[in-house]
Amino acid sequence: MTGRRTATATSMGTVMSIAAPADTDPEMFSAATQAAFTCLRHADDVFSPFKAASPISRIRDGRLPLADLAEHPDAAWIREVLDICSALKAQTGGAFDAWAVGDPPAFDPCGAVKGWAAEQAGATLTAHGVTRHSLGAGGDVRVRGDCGDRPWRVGITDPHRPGRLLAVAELRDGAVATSGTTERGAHIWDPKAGRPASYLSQVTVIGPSLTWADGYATAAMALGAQAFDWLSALAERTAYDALVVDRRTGVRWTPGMPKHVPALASAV
Amino acid sequence: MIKVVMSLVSTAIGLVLLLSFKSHSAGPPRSALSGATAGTRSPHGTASPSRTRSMKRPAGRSGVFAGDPIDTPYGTMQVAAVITAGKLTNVKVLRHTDVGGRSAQIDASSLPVLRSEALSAHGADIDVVSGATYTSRGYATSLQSALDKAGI
Repeated sequence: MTGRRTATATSMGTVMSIAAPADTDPEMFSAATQAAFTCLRHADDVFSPFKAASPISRIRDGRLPLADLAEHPDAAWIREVLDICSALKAQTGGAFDAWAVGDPPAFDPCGAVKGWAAEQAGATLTAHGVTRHSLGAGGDVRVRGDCGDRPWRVGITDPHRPGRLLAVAELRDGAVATSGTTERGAHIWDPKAGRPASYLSQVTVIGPSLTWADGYATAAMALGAQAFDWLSALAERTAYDALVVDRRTGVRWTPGMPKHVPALASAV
Repeated sequence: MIKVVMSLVSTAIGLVLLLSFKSHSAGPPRSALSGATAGTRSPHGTASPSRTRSMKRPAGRSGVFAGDPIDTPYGTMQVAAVITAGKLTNVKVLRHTDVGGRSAQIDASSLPVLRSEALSAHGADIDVVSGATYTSRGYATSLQSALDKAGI
């Protein structure tokens, strides 16, 4: 907690927090964080549905036909995010559907963009020489390397007791994404019910990439009552583990979770 | 099949925990569980602080607080919260149905996280926080904000 370099910036309606061990070169840290924040701001400009001129707003209302995408300067990024949205839709059997958000249904990739953008920003830090870092993207986390002489320690909030933690994950390289209704209420769209998902209190997914950890956590919120079974199957075939807080059933986690959250193993 | 039964039983235990905690919503366990232990003494250190206040929010109270037994499809279940110095330190299952001799596993999968719920954010020595996305306004009062300020 002490002896780190930190930098913050506002982006995507939240605050991005970067930290690196104290022995990180200050000039390198400054240049790397500026590049990472520029990356996040650019992602916001491209993908925000709240900005009328953003490519996503123009795709949404038909001003930018997908057939014309090839000529767009941000085509590669847009295609990448569209592919992630397609994969999440397929993997969740339509429970997460970026093309059917809201009423009337419209295209909105927000549920997949923040984690993906933060993953890009983390890679930017590495590319600028800050290979050991933690990046907090308004509640989603990507870490690399270590924090001095120990792994990064990532606190997972307790959705029912504000200001307190449910558990602490220890990671050297990986992502911790949490979706929940605590901070902004029910905001993840459940296309099957035609309303925001509010069945679960919180879902945390830990795995190698923040792109997928965030996508899976968001999708699980949309899956509601089916989320734990879906996450269990996911954990069996991928490197992504989950911890689910459900006010009906308490806290449950997939078998790989204690690897990341030592208290789950030692308390047994 | 065992897996299904296990998941139902842990569901039932989760319900018992919730219900039993709720049943004490006006009493000492709730204030201890929510960590409301600060500011319970008389602010000026004068004699005879408000009796009502000290009864409602006991600082550093310890003890075992049993929840109400409830009936589930698997029998009667009852749990107790162990409070040490005003913090939840353990949850004990006082009574539950033993399904196929697997009660130990039920305990193992239900209790550890409830123990760690007593973890105080400030005492946990963490670097970064994962939680539901806060707005830029919500950030100002967030734990992440405090951590960011603690950098050098």
